[in-house]
Amino acid sequence: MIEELALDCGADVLGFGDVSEALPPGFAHLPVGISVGMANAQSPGGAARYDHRDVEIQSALDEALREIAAFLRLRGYRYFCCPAECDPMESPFTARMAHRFSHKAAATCAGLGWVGRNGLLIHPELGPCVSWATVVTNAPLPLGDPWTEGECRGCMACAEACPAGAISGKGWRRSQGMHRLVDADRCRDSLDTVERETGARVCGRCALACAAVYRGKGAADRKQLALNWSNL
Amino acid sequence: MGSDERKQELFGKMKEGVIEYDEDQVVEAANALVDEGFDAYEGIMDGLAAGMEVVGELFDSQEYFVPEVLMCADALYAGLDILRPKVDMAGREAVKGEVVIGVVEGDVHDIGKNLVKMMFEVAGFTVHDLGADVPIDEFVEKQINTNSDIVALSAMMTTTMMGMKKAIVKLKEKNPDVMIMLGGAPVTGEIADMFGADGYSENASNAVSEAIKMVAALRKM
Repeated sequence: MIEELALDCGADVLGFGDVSEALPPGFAHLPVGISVGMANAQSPGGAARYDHRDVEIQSALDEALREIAAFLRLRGYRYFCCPAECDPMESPFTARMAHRFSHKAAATCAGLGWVGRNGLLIHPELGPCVSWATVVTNAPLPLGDPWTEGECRGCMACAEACPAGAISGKGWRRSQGMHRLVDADRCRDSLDTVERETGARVCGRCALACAAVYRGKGAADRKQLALNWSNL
Repeated sequence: MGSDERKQELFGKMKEGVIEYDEDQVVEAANALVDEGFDAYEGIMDGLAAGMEVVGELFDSQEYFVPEVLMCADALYAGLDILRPKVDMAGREAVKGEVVIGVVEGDVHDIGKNLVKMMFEVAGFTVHDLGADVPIDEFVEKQINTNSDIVALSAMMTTTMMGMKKAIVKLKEKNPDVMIMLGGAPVTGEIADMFGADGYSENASNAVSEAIKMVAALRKM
């Protein structure tokens, strides 16, 4: 089954959701999103910066997508793989489209998490340091209950940690989109400064501050996750 | 099994792999083709491009939509990566022509442009890709420097479409013989006509099917 395929590739979370409202034009016939998440093991304690791009995780996610694609193809379903961030030169067409497709939207539709004040997808147990990839398909799969509002409650850790003051502190609502959460211009300007000073375009303080809230949620929550899987 | 039979089998596998967007099958067949010493150019034309032709038909009949076409294109590209370096250019006629292609200034949508570019390459054109968000003067300069036969302009947004008119005027001014192709969502036949272009594709996906048809025509030459 799909969940086993993904887990064998090292995925930590998997869910199915109705993504029909989040699809780019031309994708309406593929309304079911299969959302695959892999926790970034390097989500570091005490590090000054966090780079979400991890080559190993991305290739493991790509492998999971390939397995899922083969599974769907064999059964005669349509699908489109939206890879995790990848080199557009390697897969010149699907990778370009992937930038127009939101893995976050797919994950919230599948009920795997919500969008935090920092604009990142927050998994209730794993926190923000999770890499995502998505397959959209016409296969009938048991759909999760979508998340439509943020669950950050009173937490403003990311907004306080942002060196650019780019995080408004507003809570996410699906109906209102994500643009009001983070001031993209300020975030970009701040990244420009970091890049000039360090040579690397990496900040991720909003993710680190958020991750600190979730750190320590270990074994017990993993068990809960396993229970969630078995319900699929 | 006869050698020709085997060759046809591999072409068939590549063709089917493109149609079914099964990249692994395309790669496997392309590698076998090379290993067994068959002609790579024939493989591109009668395997990969033949498959894309069927994809174009499936798209026209609304059996396939943009996502399928993109995945087919990726599968084709994977095969092209293997076969293209093996094409023996010495024994062939020189390239079919040269094309300057790019997305006009102010626009960064380039999926349609990349598809058309790939089909030009498959068809044996030399492609000068200027990328996205390209100033009009660059098209003119590149056309002059390379003496290209075709200039293909793409724009996805209405705001950048007006840039096309300027580009066409400038290009025709410098070289009345150059053929100009337009593509992109806001371009209609009427507009292309009004702007003085030679050909147009209604949107990115139609550009695909137009490009596919062009390749089909080239295969028959």
